[in-house]
Amino acid sequence: MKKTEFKKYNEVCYEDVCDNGLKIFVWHKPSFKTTACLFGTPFGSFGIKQQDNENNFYEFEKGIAHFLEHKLFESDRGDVLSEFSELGANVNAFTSYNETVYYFNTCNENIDVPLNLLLDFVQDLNISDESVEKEKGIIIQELMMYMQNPDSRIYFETFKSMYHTYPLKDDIGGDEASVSKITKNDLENCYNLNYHPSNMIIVVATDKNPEYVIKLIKENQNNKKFTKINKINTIYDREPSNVLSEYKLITMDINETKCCVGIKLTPYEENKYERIKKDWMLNLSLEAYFSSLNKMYQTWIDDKKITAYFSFEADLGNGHSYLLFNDNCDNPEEFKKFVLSELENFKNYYINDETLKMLKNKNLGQLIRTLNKPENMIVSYFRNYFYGISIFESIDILKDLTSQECYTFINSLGFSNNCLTVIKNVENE
Amino acid sequence: MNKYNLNSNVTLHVYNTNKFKDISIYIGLLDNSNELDQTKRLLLSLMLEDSCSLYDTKEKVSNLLAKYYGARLSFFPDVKGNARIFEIKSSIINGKYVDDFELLENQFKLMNEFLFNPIWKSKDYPKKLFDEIKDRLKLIINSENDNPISYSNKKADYIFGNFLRVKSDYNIEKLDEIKINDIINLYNDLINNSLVDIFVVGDIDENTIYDLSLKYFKFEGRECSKTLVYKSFFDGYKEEIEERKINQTQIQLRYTTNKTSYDDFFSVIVGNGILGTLPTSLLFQEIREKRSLCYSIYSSVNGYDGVLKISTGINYKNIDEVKYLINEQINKIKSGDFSDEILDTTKKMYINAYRQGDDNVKSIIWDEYRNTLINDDLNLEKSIEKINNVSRESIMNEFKDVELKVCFILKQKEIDNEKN
Repeated sequence: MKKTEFKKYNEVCYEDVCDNGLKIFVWHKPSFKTTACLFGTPFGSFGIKQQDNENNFYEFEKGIAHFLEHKLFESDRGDVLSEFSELGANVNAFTSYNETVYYFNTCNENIDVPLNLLLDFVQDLNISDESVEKEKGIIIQELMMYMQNPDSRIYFETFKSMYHTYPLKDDIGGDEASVSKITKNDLENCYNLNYHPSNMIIVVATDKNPEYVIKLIKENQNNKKFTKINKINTIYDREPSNVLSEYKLITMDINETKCCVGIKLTPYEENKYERIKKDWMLNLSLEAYFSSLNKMYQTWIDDKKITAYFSFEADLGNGHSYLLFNDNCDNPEEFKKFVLSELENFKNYYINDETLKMLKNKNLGQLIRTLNKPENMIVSYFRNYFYGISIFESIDILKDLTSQECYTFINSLGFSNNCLTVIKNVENE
Repeated sequence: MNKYNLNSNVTLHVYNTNKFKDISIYIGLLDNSNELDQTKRLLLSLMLEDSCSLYDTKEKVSNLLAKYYGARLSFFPDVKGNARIFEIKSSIINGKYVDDFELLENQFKLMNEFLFNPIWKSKDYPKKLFDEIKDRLKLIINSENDNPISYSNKKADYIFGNFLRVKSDYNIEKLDEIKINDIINLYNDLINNSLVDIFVVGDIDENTIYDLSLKYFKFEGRECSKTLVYKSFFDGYKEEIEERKINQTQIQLRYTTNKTSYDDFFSVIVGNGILGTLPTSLLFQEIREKRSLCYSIYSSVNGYDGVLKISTGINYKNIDEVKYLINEQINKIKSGDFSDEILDTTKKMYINAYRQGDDNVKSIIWDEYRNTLINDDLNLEKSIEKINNVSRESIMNEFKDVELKVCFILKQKEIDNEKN
């Protein structure tokens, strides 16, 4: 067992590994009453095409990771949600692009039972043809719920326009057609490939004795047998650099016209530190230029170039890099012109040292805040683990950034691969 | 939580804990107005948040908040029962984590500037800025209305009336009529006449907090009363249906429980948990799990006016079946037709939730505030005892008068289309 102390932030983490390869991380939070525990796999909606190290190829329907998440809550003893409730524990799960996680929290003195239950239900897929069919109706209603929300719909439609093959083009839950095709056999195959303990981690934040918690997890794992599996990788088809569709209009029954300009950037396949550093450089520079920190922001509002709903988002992911600019506006074409013209100015933007320092402060504060709640802490730690970098390393990278580095990186970017998505009421046309 | 009287009807509450990395300050200004002026209150909160005399541009405000490690500052006009609570919240990282030992005083200064020195204290409020903030509120209202879930929830509250309408009655027509002076008058009334409660939570020295509060939160003494719990009433039953081109039908139901005091409320809370709040609940199990008719269905009950709400999103073709099943589950609670296991499980889940409240700043502050407002001394142990005392009979007794009063349906018309 390894103990790491972060004295500056008054945090301690214990880590260990089970014989089957499951990695354990326990954050000791003695002043809290809540224990939060997360068990997750780095398999999410992107994993629809996979290959193992013996060159076996596997292809699944869109939305299968999310479907699996739903079905794992069923066990031969009944409904897992109810079992946790009977223990006075809240359980939940989520699926994102690259991960599926299951977590619970409780204030019970005894965490042995919910902890074992978490490990047991995630490590035992128990489904029937009938139960798979029944779940489809629930999942399709969930997809409908997101699709009728214009704020989530515009993101989804923009990604669909930007990408030809990259799975960001698909909703995490898939669509009605793909969900309808998923079978019990598909779910079992997918589960066997992606839920082996050697690929997974468990993160706990608790006031309980960390050594005891680690012992509990190891005992649980020692009592189980897992078939050795080949190493599995998600594979991606070649993604052209241009966008699939430069313009898309969606009509919905809404008052406000929504628009989103998507910029497809070249993905950065560098080492994790370089990627995180560039992600910071891009995000800090965007915030300095496109937020109210810039005095031009008020002029843009006054000139009706943007509204108070204007927002941006940037992601330098492993296989994808993009910028999104969103707003509610009556003239989407003008909005696109504005964004592209300002991006040209942005390329030559040099953040002054004072602004950079303020932005470092702001982001440092936000990072420290993730340590406030056990529930947030475990999710944040899980994500950072699979990014290959801890929150404390991320803080160090942030602190060392210079204005010159930001300038050099921003100046190297190209914004010519772009698209516009508009959602408006058909009567407003 | 320790209490200090700063002035007549101005109270400071301090909670010292090393759990959190930041320091949170919450100021509640309470009045008992039942005026339908929520649009005005929302506009006031946006204006106070936007700028103040010292930091009179967005650029200055953003720079300041960034410099203070992403300080958070927000204003919001909440409604709980018949209490209108104008909330001012801020949180800033504890200076010890960033080696900045002036941060705490700066947090008090920041709140002082934004709360006590709005722009109109130093000059005429610029018409251009006033219009800009009105436009911002228009966008917020329209965007809320564009989301079928938030729109249908707000509409059902509006139809129900009472204090649910006080909170949900804000719209663009009213916004157009508001003048700058209306806002200044409302502000003066809130600052000078409301009951003031200040809460500070974090790893702090109580004496320092007391001194800083006296120095920066100079509220005059005031005469005011407080009421929080009231009994909602609604004569008859009203059903409204609207159509929209969406792909899921929203159902919103409002029931009266005829509660008159917070004390009986634990039976209603547990009964509601059995009905539709937890994964074990009757609504979740019967409508989602057994029949796959929806993804989300839940019930909630408001402790301050006793209104029970049920919300779900379904395919319209199943509406009769879903309405029938919802009614059937309500009747099961009324007649006590639920298992001992679900009763025990629901109690355990609420006890867990109450215990977890102690790890959450928002709950810590609100539990103390509620106790202050209803002159109660309900603490964690007493709440757990009251939950444990809830019985099948007490739930049946509290649910016997539950009546459906409002049904609002936002019906799906046709699926939207896409053009490339």
